[in-house]
Amino acid sequence: MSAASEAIIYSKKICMLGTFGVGKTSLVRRFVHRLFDDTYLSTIGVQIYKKEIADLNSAKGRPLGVNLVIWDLANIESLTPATRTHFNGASAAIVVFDLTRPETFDLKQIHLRTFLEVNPGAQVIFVGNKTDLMAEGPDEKALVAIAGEYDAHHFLTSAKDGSNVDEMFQALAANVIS
Amino acid sequence: MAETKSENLHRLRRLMLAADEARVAELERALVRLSDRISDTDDWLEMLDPVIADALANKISESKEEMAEALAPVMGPALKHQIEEAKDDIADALYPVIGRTIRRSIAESMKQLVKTVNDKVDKALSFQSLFRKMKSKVAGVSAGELALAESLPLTVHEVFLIHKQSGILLNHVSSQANGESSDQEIIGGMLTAIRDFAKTAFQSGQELSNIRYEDLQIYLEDGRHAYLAVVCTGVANDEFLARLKLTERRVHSQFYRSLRNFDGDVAAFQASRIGMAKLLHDFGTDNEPGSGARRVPIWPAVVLLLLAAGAAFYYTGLADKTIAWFRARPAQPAPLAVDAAVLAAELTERLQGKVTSDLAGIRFVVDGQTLALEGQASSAEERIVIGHTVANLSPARIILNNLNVAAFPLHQAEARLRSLRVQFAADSGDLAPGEMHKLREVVTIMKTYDIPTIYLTGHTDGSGNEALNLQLSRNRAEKVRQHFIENGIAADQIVIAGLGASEPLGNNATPEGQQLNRRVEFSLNTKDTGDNRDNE
Repeated sequence: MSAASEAIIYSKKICMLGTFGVGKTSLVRRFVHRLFDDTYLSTIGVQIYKKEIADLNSAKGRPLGVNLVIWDLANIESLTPATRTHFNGASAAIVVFDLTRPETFDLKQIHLRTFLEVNPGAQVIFVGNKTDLMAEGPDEKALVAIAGEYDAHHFLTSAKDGSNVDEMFQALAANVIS
Repeated sequence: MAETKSENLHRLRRLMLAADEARVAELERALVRLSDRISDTDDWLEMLDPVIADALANKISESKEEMAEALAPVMGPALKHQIEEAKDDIADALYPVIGRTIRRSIAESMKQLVKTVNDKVDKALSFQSLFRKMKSKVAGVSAGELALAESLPLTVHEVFLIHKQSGILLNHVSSQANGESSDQEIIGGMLTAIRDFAKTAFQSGQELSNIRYEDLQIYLEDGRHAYLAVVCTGVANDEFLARLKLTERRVHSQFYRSLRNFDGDVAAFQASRIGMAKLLHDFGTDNEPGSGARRVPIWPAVVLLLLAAGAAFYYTGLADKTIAWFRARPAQPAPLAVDAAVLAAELTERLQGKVTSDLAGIRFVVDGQTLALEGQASSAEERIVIGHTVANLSPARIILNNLNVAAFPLHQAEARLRSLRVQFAADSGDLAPGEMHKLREVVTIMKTYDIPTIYLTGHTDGSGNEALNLQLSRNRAEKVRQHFIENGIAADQIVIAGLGASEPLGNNATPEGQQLNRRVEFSLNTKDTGDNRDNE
């Protein structure tokens, strides 16, 4: 393979933020392993996943890809010094809310401000998850308002049926290498 | 008469049926008792308890496979359920068994170790043993300790280079042909999470340096921006630990800039593989004692040769002198002799006026044979210049350049840019001598702070006519612009202007004032430039 056609691959650390039970782990498992597990398994500490996204777009005529190293953090509500260190060096955060539980939209609980203090300039994507449980269609007003406040993208997803999950991660990957 | 007849019939009936009636009553009572026991699970278990063990034992002895097949589908879920229900009970129940199992395993390992050590001792007259005894005398370590270290040789299996802050894997080498897999990325992250957890949980301020997992050990060599994680088995010796440290330092020295400005581009660390692979090679499976590479049967010839040489050595009296020399010789090289005050004075003398860094604030730390520089340099270029100068001035063979490049807030960076006026030769677009380092610093600041646009304003002294001065001032700004483009700043980030002699800084009546006026200034703000500007 000539140097001109060799892919440029970046590795980027991504943190999953959100209160318990919003579907952080399910979203990552759906994206990385194409799986959805109904049983709720509270993540202990941190779980790390990796997924490569290739052919994002070209740079100087060379294909461009990114390895997303995804840190799925648990117990984010009780921020400890150890939890805070998990934020170090992240290029982006995926903030996940449960559309069926308005109380999960409380940003103070997930310490987004701290995350951005540790990683100034990091990208943020807001995600309203569990659209499959919204019989009358999702109400995205709150999500739009929060995303607007941070001038960030937002997505409505379902880890259960997979809708919009790939699109969300693809958009994030494009953002972190732009 | 009738009554008498009835009584007689009753008596006859009692005589004939009494026994049967009593038996029926007894059976009814037994039936009630049995019915009660059937509805009571505890009672059932009590009833079956004496026989169930025998029944199972008989069945298992008759057909183990059938029993295993019958029980297999329920055993897993049953165990899982029971563990979830009563973790402590299960732990209590298994504890004595696990303890015995571990003891047995350790005993087996120790037996093997003892056998290996005995084999070494049995070969007490071997060349290897004689060499070990000599080595023990010279190094001041017991022969038994050396034999033990040889019995548990160190073997490096994998080496990871991991970005300290993000946990992203920068490079990885493995002794396994198929050692590359996506799991390595996850291992890098998990090791970083564990290190961070240990550091914060115990608030020790110290980095985790060693993790044990069964017979595997992971040695972690911490660096400023990255760390090495080496997975190995056996006993690590001083040589290995020193090499590990040296490898980490070389990685930092070679890739300092890429590490400091790491943006996820791991390809920048491709060349670090060479040093990591060398570590793997020198302490890898190929070098285990007893491996094919060391089994070349030339030792008998070597022994004969050494015996002959040894005899001559002994009988000429050289042996005593040599042993005395070995004993008198210090085990470790003498610590590096560096007089920090003298070195600081020499450094200041060499670089005074050539750099803007605070030379007086630089500290010199001696660690064995290594001299480390601590403090701040005002730019990445000055950091290198200071490091090279110290290397020339000091006797240290290893210089560890730990100088930080000062990173100020944006407003301070802007103030710094304003202060960095570059001066020019008279009537010329050429920089005055010694001004180039300022341009390098401006480029560094722009890249560090991701500054979108910089404004360059050229000036002249008061000599010459206005039109020529305007052109000359613009030429000077253009000269600086070209330098910036050559050093990675995009053309559309640079706006230039020429203001001629309209904004003097110094008195044009004196040579010093004129020199001050022949300049290009830098700004992040369009208000600071004149109207005569463009970015073409």
